[in-house]
Amino acid sequence: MNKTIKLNVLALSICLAQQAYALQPISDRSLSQVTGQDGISITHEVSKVTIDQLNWVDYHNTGSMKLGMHDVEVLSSGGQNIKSTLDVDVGTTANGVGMHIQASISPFKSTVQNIMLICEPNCGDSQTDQNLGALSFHTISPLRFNLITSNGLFNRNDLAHLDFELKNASISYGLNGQNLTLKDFNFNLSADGYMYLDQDEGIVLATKNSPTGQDHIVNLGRVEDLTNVSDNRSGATNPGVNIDLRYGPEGSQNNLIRMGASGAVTNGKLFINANQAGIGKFNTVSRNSSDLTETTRQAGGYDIAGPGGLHLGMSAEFTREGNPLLNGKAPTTLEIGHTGTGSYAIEFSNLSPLAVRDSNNVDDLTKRNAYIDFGDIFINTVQAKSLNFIINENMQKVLGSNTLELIYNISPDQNAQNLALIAVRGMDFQAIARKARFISDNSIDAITATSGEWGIGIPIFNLNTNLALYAKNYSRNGVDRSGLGYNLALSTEGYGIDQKTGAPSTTSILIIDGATGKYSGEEVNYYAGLRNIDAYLKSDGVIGFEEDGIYVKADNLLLAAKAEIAIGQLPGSLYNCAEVECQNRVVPIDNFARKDDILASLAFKLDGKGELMIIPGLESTNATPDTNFLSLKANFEFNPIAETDKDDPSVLGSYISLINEDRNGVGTKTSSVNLNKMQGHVGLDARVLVKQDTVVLDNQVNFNYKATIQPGLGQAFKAEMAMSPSGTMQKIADFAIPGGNMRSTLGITPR
Amino acid sequence: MLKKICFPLALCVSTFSSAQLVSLNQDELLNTVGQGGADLSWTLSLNHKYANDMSLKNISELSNGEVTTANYQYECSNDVLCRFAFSPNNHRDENGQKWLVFKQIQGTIQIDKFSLEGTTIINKDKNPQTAMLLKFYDQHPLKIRNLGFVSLAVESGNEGYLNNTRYTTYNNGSQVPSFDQGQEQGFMGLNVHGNLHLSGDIKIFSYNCSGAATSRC
Repeated sequence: MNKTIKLNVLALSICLAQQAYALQPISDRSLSQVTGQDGISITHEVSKVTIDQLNWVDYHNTGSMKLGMHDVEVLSSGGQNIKSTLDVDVGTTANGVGMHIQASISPFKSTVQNIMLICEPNCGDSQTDQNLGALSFHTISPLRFNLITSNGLFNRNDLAHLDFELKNASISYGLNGQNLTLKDFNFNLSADGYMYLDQDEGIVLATKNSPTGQDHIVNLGRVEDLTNVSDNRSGATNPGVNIDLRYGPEGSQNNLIRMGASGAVTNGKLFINANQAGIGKFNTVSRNSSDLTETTRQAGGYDIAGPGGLHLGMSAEFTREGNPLLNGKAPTTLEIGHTGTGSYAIEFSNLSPLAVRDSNNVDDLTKRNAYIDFGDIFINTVQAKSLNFIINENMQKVLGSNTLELIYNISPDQNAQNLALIAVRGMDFQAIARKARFISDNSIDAITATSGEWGIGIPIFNLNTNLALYAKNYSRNGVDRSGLGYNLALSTEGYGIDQKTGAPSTTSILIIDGATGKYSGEEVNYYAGLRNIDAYLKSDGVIGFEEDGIYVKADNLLLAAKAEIAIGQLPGSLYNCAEVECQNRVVPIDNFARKDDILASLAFKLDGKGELMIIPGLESTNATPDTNFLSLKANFEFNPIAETDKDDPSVLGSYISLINEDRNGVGTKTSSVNLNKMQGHVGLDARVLVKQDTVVLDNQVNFNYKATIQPGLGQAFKAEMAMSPSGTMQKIADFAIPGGNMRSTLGITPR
Repeated sequence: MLKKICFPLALCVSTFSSAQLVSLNQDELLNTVGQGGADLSWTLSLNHKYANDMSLKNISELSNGEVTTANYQYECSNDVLCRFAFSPNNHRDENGQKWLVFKQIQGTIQIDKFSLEGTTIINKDKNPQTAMLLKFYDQHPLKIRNLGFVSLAVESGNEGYLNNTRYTTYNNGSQVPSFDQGQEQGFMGLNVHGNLHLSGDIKIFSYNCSGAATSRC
């Protein structure tokens, strides 16, 4: 392991050493006040730091590449020197000898001119160092770190306390003079737990004591908002973890989206090491087996990662009311919505896992928590031509693939390409909110209405992804620009039993009725929506920062999914009706594996190329949700069907299918109605307006968006209607929409 | 996008499942209860001004209850584009595929409020089951505005849906009267304009077959 970590430590030490030149003389008077009995206290002031290069070297089989930050400059913020302090104290505790380390850095601004992917001196033919953009980091409150241990520095058995206060920071990624910024970024936590070194896991921070199972809390404390706060508000705060995305040139940015988490989380864990053995391991649920527990399969093609690289993981469970660990602290709330002046968002609470009980026994209410587990994250620099990706049997059917192990090209030509590769294996987000309310931005008055009794669940199960990034130039509207090339493969698992937790898990998009049932006396947990979504997305192209928004071009886009349109009650809930049939009866714990709630299943495959423009909402002092909203403009061209396949009904091409599955006592019969061989040009203008009590989805579909029928320019939208009553596809008709616009405006006002 | 697809699909599904709905007796109907839920409003517009101009906030401007500006008027950059064409399998002539073409297809529908809730029913097997409950209100009618097409024609050719045939002359040179002059050719048109008042509940739920060998649903 641990060459990489050693090198990292070495690099860090060198940086720190470079900053140490500005020591201050201490006067005699000050010296006389130093008593010397309580550890070491170091205070350090600096006005400016410059670093030419800071490189991370990833050793792999084909030489070594580096990811580097070049031309780094750190300046003070607010006209005063950057002041950093470090206090180290050692003392006896009940468990042994503990340490107290306290550090803080006053506000500063650092900029990285160039993030570089460096192949020199091992560059191959036509390969050069790549510039992946710029980065900046800016704080307006002191960055504080406080660690108190009870026995040594690293100890897996004895408790430590950590405070980490990164508040109101601003982190920007820049390309072509435009910045994507995390404004008011907070990572403010206060945690009790264990910090230790492990042979397999590397450096670990965990709240749970692994031998005893004793768990502790990480409190994500809300942070005072220091900018753009309404005069009518006092004590306005942002969440303890606040991700508020803005876009535009520095100083005149517009508003994209905001997400946040605050309150207490538990069973938190963070680890970091260099072990790359797991990068080719995909969890998958076999659809041909009656046991729906995840199993692990090894994919080929991942020896490119080599022995070096980062492997990290982060997970935490969300608390809800009634958790004995809370001890007066606020349970977890999540927020998502629009951002900027005059905007609204939605706050979710009462977060719970999919199953409300652990068995069909009425007394077996679950003590499990909703959780997020980022899975295994691998960060590498690689030279790659292609990569393998494992899908499940459902996706195999939808894609019409003859294998479960797809091999896709990651390089645009036959030569291996230099890439930064981020791979995620087995990411889970199993949280269903049963309570939600609208909240307003701190720039306007607060909403005083109480919580609604509705919620939303967007649980994600077993998300696997490979994201490769490299420098790429592109041309749009006759202007050449530098962009960020990407190659993305991503999949989700519809349903299964999680390998780590043993709990039923799903990928779904659900609306929840979390009100107390009239007859059942507990949350009724009606759900409606798309459940058990198996999905696969493969796309490559370029991301560019343009003046009007973020431009994403997909030279190839393949999106396929299978989902169930269903309405029912969450597994383990109590049925809610007056009849004797309902009384104290539990909705089966494996409800999501059964067909009882399904109205129909939906499957689709879209194969083509397209462009997407993400347009931020306009920031202004008197903005309203009608002027400040997120908008997406996209166009898509379906891949053409080969001449030889045009008259073959069994060739589906790009399709949408509505499927009915019947169990007739012998087996399952499947029938479907399809739109197959979709062809032509389609455009989309989608707007999401989050208002005070309503979410409006305003969408315009442009058939043949180029609005011309000249050959080689616009193409009519065409498709084939077909049915498959007994498994064989039978064509009914063709249809064509040569052009025109359709607009749907759907307003949703939860009660 | 999934959500968008889901809604019309859910509506379609409701028509499918209506074929074999379980009959609920009066007592059972009375005992079903709604809980939370959501109020929805929906506007769908095709080839009208409202559909083309995303800056428009409503389908019409009102003053003292009178419509002063109607945004549900036909608007299309080229009439040949604003069509829907349907070609049943194996219908061909000497020019190629035969198409049933709805020319200048258009329409706006709007409903200001309907509600979505969950509810529990007792199904034919005497088991509790969840149903989606859609509520429609008499005071919030389905507003249908200029829904239809100007002419319906049968066109042939592999791209027959792009044929641009218009009325100009007949009987070897006589001018078509001004009413039809220059209009797209076809044998009928349709225009629906009015309010459809709906009041009541629709329960939509999945139905599983009895298990008999001949039973499909």
